Amino acid sequence: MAQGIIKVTCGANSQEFGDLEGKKVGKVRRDLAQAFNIPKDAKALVQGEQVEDNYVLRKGNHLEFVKAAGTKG
Amino acid sequence: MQIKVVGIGGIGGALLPTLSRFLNFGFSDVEVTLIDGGRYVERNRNRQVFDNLGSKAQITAERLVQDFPRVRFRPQPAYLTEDNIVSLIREGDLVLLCVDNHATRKLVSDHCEDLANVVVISGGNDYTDGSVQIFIRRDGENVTLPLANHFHPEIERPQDANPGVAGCDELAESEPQLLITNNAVAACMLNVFYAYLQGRFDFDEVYIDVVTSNTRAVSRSKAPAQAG
Repeated sequence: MAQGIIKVTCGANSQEFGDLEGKKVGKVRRDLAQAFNIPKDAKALVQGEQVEDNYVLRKGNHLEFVKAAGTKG
Repeated sequence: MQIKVVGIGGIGGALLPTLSRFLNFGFSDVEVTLIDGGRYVERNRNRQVFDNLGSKAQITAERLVQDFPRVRFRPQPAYLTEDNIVSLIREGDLVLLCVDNHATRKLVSDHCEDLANVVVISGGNDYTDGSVQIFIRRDGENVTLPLANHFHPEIERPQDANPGVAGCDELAESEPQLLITNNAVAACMLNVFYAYLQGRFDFDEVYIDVVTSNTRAVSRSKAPAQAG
């Protein structure tokens, strides 16, 4: 991942952003909730480790909001 | 090879014809057990193919055996419960879990953690997206994460009910589903099944979104998996 880029994923969808450094996970969750279909209670992981909504994003972070497993069949 | 297909709804019904054709023309000595306590009713026709009303397991097995005679199909018209899972999911099985509730996923996940060698490929969907998990136990060790793991509290502590528990049968049809999403998840389960057979996978789960056409495989296990 290029310097300064932060990758955000939720479920099957993923996108890289150049303007998220210094922002809190909670704000990203709110700002991208609709575009990424992020559930309010989705766990947030940075580099695979769980973080809270007050975590401040750094260069090169990969932020994942863990989507629940599909329910129906 | 002993394959157990649990749940013959939108996903299971979409998965079975391709799986059966693949097995019929590529393998010998394969038994596919169809496990579902539900019955086909008219309202299922918007997402499922069947000739007659009645037991899903029985009617689906009768249909498949005509087209794929080299595969042995064994119908089990019952929902998985704590009372029958020991006899229905056994050592060495490959389980294709296509159910519509997390309570049964939790039941299967916990039971399989007590087995030494088993593979579970579990698919589920919401309206336009879904996911597939692969849980592999080999020689008594978890090669990939169980279905019920800390990333998925909805399965660790399910809020829904097993249809095999009295009074819960009708929950299955309570929310609308999209046939196209059922098909996408079924196709992804078959992709994972094939990858497992080829020994080529390094992921615990796959997410699917039919609106964006995106698919993403995720590895959450500490060590990359290698199929045997």
